[in-house]
Amino acid sequence: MRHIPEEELHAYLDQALSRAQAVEIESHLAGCARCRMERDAIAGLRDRTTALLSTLAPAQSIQRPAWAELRRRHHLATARRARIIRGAVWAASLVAAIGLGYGSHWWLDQAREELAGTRDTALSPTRPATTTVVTPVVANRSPAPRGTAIASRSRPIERLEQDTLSSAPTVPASGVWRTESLERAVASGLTVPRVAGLPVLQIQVQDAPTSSSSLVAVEQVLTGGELVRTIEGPAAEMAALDQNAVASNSGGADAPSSVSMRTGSRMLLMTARIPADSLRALLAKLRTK
Amino acid sequence: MADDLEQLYQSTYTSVVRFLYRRVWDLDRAHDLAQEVFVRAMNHRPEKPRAWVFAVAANLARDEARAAMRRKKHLTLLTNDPIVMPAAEPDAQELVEQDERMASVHRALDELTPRDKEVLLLWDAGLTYPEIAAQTDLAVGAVGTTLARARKRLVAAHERLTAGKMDDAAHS
Repeated sequence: MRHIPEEELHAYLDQALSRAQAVEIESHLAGCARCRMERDAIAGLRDRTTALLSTLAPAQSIQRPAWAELRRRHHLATARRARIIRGAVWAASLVAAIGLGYGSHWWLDQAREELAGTRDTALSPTRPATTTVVTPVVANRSPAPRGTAIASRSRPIERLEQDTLSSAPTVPASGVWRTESLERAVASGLTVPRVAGLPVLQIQVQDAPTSSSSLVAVEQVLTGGELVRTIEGPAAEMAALDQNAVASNSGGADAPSSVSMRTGSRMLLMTARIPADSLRALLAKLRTK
Repeated sequence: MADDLEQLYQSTYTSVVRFLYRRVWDLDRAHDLAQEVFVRAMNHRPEKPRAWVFAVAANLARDEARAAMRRKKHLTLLTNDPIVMPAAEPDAQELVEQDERMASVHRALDELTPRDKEVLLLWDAGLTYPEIAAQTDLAVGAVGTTLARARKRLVAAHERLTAGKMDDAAHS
């Protein structure tokens, strides 16, 4: 005769079995003295455990605050969260407007210095951004700059815009993209725009005669799984890309946010399926080397 | 829905505090965490609120234990002086005995594996086998096995830990 396994007796005493299982065990117990002894031993063990655990109680009795008090805390927390979010949006727009314009100068200068330092080319580290020659990578593509005219400006333009696009900026059909490793991309003096601390999935480069006019697209992934795409390149090329993306806009509730930033003749475009203010926070963490 | 949550609060708050107390060993902290759990529940509106409440409580307790571990390490680095316990007053004798009983069970409980301990405390907090299984990633059938082992180990560890003291008492 099969005896009842001990875990089943625990489950039986814990009333964790179905009615049918319990009946089966009870009918076995009725005819099996050994299992009855085992059941009594387990019942004793169970009571002993409960008694031991009951000593693990605080000396003071547990007073339950009124439910209304918890509701009040919940309202406070919700209101505080809303305030924080409003404040963060405000602060982010301020930071974006002032800080990033300034910061982007800095990183582009750094990138230029790096280029000048690592490559023996005609590029001069002191040359102003506006004189950087924009070389269209593909001859048959007509760049369609949007917004303010780039060429007519005599000083770098700092601009931050926020669009809602239905799709990430799609890589133009023309032009050859190659996949590059982060180390090699950085080593070859390319500007690799990426958010510090996020794993890089892929880097794609569209080559141009000088590395400063190459387009670099970086794909990173957030902990929530959302893809963040950042593309950096000459503004004329980028404006065309951006326009392509706008042209394919079909709307939709889960359209990704997009932030673009222009400094002088350079432009950077970042898209992800996350709220716009989160995207701007990511933009603040951007590194280019 | 709000009423459901309030009912759950009325019926389980004490169990949640006791459950948390056995993980963080600080009543004020256990209250804070338990209230945090219910405030979160108001936001989340969980489908199975009872299981949810204990799952979140267990997570908070785990985070708390990790933070406490870090603090402890930090404190050990800060001071090498042994902590001097205040001398017990004679009329506090009963309290001291209660504390000692509790300390021995606490130590016995700490000898269990984290999973055995969690399953045992969840059971003692009033969760059903399926609720415990959902929270600990165990099969429902494995909950009985785990509880059987945890109960045996707790009682055995407690007997071993208190045996020395009883011998001392017998000899004195």
